[in-house]
Amino acid sequence: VRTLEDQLAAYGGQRNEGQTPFTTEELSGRSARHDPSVPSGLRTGIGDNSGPVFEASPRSARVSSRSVPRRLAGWQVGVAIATITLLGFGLINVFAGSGGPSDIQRTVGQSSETTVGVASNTEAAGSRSVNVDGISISFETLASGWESSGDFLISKDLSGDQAAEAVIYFATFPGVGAASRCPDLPFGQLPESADIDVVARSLSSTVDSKTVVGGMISRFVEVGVGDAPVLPPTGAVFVPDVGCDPGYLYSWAPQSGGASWRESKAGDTIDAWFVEVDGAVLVIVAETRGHTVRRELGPEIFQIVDSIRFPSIAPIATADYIIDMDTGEMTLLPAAIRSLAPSQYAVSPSGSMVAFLAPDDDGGFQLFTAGIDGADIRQITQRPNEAGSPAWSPDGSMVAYADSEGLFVLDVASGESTQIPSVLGTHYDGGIQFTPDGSSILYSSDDYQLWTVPIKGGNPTVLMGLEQGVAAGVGSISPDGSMVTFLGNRINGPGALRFLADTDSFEPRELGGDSQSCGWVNPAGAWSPDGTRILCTGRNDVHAFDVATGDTPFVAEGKGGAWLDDHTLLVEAWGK
Amino acid sequence: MFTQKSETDSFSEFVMSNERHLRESLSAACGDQIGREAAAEALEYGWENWDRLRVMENPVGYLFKVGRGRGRRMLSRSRPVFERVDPIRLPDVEPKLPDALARLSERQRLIVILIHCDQWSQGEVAKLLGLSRSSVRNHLDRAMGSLRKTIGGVS
Repeated sequence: VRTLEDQLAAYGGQRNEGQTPFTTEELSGRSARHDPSVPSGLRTGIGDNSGPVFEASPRSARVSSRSVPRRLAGWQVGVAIATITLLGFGLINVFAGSGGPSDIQRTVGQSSETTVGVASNTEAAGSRSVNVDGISISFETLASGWESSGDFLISKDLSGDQAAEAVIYFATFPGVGAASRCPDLPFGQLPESADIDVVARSLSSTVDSKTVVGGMISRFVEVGVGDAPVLPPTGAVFVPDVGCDPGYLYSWAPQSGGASWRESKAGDTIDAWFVEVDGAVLVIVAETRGHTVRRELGPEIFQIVDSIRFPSIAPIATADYIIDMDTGEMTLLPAAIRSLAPSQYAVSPSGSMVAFLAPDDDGGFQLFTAGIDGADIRQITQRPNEAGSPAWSPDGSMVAYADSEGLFVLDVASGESTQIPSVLGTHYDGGIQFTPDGSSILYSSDDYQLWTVPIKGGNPTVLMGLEQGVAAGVGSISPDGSMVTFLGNRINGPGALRFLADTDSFEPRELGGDSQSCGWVNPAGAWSPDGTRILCTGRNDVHAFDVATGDTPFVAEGKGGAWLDDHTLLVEAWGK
Repeated sequence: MFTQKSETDSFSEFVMSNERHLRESLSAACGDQIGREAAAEALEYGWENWDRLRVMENPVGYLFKVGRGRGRRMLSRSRPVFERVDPIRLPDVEPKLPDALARLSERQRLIVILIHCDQWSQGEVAKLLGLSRSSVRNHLDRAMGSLRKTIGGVS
């Protein structure tokens, strides 16, 4: 037996062998993916084995966000100098204004300006909590440098004389306090109870979307204040320069040390989330000024908002939801299901039941079934080792699953599990699926091939793998059996990419362009019932690959999901 | 003011000499696939912000933090996933090793993987994580002890 050190070194060798340096194409493709209309900023160079060689584009290249308001979007590049504006909702606090001690001076052209610098790290990353009108809110700042200013806001101060660059502000409605509304909005005087929600609605009814905050569905709107030197983020409400001075939506009296914070100005971006907690409407507002700042701090803001939890609300419940893809309407799954902290959903063929993985009383992961309405929740496995990868049979009578001992088929009516004999090395994590005729199970093996094995016993057969020149996993057959999709790579090629192959030729082809938006999803739920689309997870969210057109549009925010019908998805939300 | 040419060149040089460290450290933190993805995002970010990063003392450390933030998000709350041990090539490597690594705390995992799998020096790891060498050594000892307990290897 080798020493642990030797084992680690050997394993490291194996791991690193499979790790190719980034190719120019790969990075170039990524950059272009943000916005196909923009020439790639990363151009192909001549690579060698020591690492990628590529050229940076001129600084004016644009990298824009996608059209749907979402978290961690890329932001547009612009040369904008950081300042800060706070959008207030009645509750006003004293801001501690300070230039960061480690700000960098950068010379731009002939004039010397203070611009974005290194975080001043005045407060370390970590868990925080605030209490807003009795609503307890906890959140995490993953990056350091976010300062609490008073009870209701945190800010990050990266630049010089403007005190801060971004704030996140918590308030409830209706707010009263020192803030007064801007009198000159183009749509007239706001009523006394006006709030940004009203404002956003009057500006546009098309762009606000829903997202999940702290396990609750919230409304989200992004507002770009107009007459900006550079374009506002894609998908934002664009407000023309309303000449509203001081303040776009609200103004407030000068605060100590924060004299420049009184106005929302052209070039500002305001994100607002509205969520009902314990009967009160909470608004979370984040504001940045300038697109450089936006690009810098936008992801941090979204991370912080994503980490928000409300201790008063069922602490372990997920925020998994059902979304109607035609209308965008979101509905939380019944609390009875969400409170089990489920994952790996598989939807029954009729769409009336779900099977999922959840921790049982002993804390081990076991399979459960439930009506989609939350009724009749049952734990269906009690495996000594944790079970996973549920898949419904086409007739809805059986659920197949995997554990470390092999593959099993469970009769839903009797609750009895039968192990499938003669399975060759399963890859537990790859997920499994019934073949469309219900006679066999498709699974991924340790040798990176896709196999089918008859559930009643019989020799497993390779469906896809070395013979086709690919390493394949996470395979899923289309409902009519004509196609198979999987994640993998060509031998010695880059991976993992998503492939598609017809089951008569078995010629695998990589999905074009945006294939990295089409990563893992439980194979049992991958194909839409009509076989036209493949559900997959992108970098941060759920996409649907259209087999006919090759498009991979964003469809929902989350980390996975399954089709309920051709227009409706069950989505696993981010967060707990 | 930097010319486009020099900016381009200096970023290419930066990537040439640092891409591997970024990729390995993020893979150690977030698992093989997500780590790679996070490294690509971090490089993309580095490219977009090169004028700021180039003057930093430790741009790799900064981009590591950027990538780790992205990676954590992609991981959500699940554990990182590491490639399985190839039983044919490495018959005497414990198959439970990848899972045992995934169960270490992120800091311990980074230190073990970077030093023992990826052959970084303790000084390089210390710089990346902003730790002193002695505390890297302490974490390493503790992590190796915990690994031995999990997989029953010999020292």
